[in-house]
Amino acid sequence: MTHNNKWSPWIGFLLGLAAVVSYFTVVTRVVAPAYPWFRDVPVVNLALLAAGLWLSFAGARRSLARPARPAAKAATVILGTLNAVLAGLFVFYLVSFSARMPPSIDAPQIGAHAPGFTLPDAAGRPVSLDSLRGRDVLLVFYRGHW
Amino acid sequence: MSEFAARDCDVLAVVADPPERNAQVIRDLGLEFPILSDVDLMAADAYDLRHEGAGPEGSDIARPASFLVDRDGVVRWRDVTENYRLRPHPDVVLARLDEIRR
Repeated sequence: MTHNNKWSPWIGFLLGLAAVVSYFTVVTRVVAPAYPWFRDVPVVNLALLAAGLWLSFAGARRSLARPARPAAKAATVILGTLNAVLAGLFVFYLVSFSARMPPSIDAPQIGAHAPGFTLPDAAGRPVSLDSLRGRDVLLVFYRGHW
Repeated sequence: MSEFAARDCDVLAVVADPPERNAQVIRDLGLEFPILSDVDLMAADAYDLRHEGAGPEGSDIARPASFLVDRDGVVRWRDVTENYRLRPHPDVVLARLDEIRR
């Protein structure tokens, strides 16, 4: 197991870096168009990130517990911190990314008239919103493609 | 859902999938409200909800949103969500419905 050797902090950091870089180069460009959910929850990248963080942590703990040159100890701590910061920024980006929506400034405000439309129901029969005048209607738009 | 029926309020879902797909979803999920098929995003455009390139293979989809429309066709409550993972709780809508009925 590599988790307890002196290269752990480096490998951990590289894993974290690989997770983030591959996300922006491979996932968003190649994978996302076919699997949009993966762009929002990139399980592979997150797993790599977690593995990298664990290695960083284990490596730093090992390094700090043993006698070693201060420079070596400092390196493990710096690498571990960098990895944690990188991971934190990446996760923050992912979470906020799912919130990125078009402005929809022309969506009807409260007090505005609800635009009418006529669309087929699941049986193919046309249903018009205006035909429901006189009734309260909760209109729910879904993303679809479920 | 029965809470809306009890208040005599219709629920209408609009989804950019073909009718057959919507029929399947209604069957699978046992939905009690109609789903309208908006494949050309005509209704989504009327409500300015088009989300370009956010769908599979870069297609356009509708961003999630809800509108409570009263008997005169006026919007009385809306939720144009910033985060598609968060949908309004039905209680919020029911409370608003009760308010406008008073």
